[in-house]
Amino acid sequence: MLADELSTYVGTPINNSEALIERARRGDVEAFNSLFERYADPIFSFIYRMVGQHELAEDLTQETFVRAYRKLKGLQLHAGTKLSTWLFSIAKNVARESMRARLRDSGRVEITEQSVLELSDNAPRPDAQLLDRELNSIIQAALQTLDEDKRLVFTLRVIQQRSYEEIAEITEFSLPKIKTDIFRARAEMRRLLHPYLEASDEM
Amino acid sequence: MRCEECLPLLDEYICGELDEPLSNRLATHLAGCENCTSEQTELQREQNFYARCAVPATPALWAGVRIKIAEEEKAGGGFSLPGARLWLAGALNAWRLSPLRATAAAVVIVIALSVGLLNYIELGGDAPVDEAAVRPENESKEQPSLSVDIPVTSASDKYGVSVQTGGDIDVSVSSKKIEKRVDKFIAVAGEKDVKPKPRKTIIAARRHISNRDSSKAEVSRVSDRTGAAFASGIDTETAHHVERAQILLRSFKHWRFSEDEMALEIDYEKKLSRELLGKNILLRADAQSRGNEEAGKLLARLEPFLLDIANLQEGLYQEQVALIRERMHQEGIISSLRLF
Repeated sequence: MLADELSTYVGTPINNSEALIERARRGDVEAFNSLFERYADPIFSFIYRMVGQHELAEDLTQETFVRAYRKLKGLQLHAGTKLSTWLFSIAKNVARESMRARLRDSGRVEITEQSVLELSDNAPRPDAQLLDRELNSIIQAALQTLDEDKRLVFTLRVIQQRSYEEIAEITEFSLPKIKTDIFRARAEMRRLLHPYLEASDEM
Repeated sequence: MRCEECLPLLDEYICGELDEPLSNRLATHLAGCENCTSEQTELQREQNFYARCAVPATPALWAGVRIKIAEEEKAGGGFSLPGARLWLAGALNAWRLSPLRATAAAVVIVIALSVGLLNYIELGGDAPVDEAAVRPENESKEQPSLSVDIPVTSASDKYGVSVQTGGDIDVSVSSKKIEKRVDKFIAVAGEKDVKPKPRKTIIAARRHISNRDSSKAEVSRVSDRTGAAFASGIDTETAHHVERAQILLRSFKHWRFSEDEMALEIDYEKKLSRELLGKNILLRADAQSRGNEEAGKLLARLEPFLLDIANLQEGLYQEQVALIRERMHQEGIISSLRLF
């Protein structure tokens, strides 16, 4: 999906989607399908970056939209509130529940140890071909090294490009905490990914 | 502007989120600062790098959402059997989770049953039941009716509370009628002067919802769901539920927190446990009514643990968690869930 397309609808004020929401509230599943089509990609991408497993992210994306459908009746429409912010809040809760439930069960098993070991300050600079194939998994591995809060705000800010105000609304964190976490997460990601970042200039 | 002021704002500057005066100040600073310009370049490179990593959702995802929504709609609309069960389980569960209301509820149930709850539901109330509206003309008295049997027992003797009661509620009326009756009971329970049990007491009540005639009761009068599809859906749901419960209990088992740290975590665990408990009651009833002994027994064993986690009390977390863990170990519940 093109970034400009994404930004067009992701930032749509909730009132612009009011007609669809109202129809969905009355049980019009096709209207809800339209909402799903608008937001499925960013929500899935967000959840995937949070939990690190494609299949699980698919399940959790479905759970997010089922919960959203369930909650539509009670949704309060505030001026300036974005539907995407509301959906990201639900997605955050769904992902967080899943991560917490699994965290002490199996540790951070979503990523291979090898992929983490490959992420080091002295790793050789990969060529572009390798980048194409492994970029996603490498980023995923690096993200999984962050603690949950940092991964959450980093994903929302840097990957999903949400504003600080939206992130505060989604996470219920204070702005200073968000900024501190993003600063630290960014530094850590930069340290882990710098060979790939440098190589990306040549792509 | 100094570099210390500029650097934290670069990210917002690049995204165009700063107001114009501040943005202009930053631009002026950047024009004369090599260090900050270098950081700006680095940030932009990163933005581009991560922007390439968009992972699209699989189009087939909608199908799954649609199915789940349809299931919920069926469960929630009209008088569908699963819907009525879910609603009842939720209502009873809500009572249970407050010690005061749970005690009041138990007392009210005993009183109500002793004075003839059956007649109350069939005949009493402010809105007479229009049987014709909910029962086809050719339906005889042999038609299956949902029977709700609610034995309430303590889960563990060590908690020192034992409430035993039971009875059959013939709810061969619309779900709306049932709702009105239970609303009335809730109102009555609220008015009763019932002394609450001590806070340390954990009442592990088990509520059992079963069908009087399981083979017939699978077929709701209104629901168009077939028995086979219903059973298949429930089995899948049960497997998913057991998996979630296992994860919760495993997580619970491995907690290593201080009381303060635990307080932060506990709300989440309690909430999840409540959610699983409501589901457990529903699924257990279904498993038992369908004669799925293995699932019924396992869910019955699981229920007290969910209930106790849902009822963990502030200030007693360490003590209660230790007790629950000990029981988990003794009963091997996690192994049983894993093997299911």
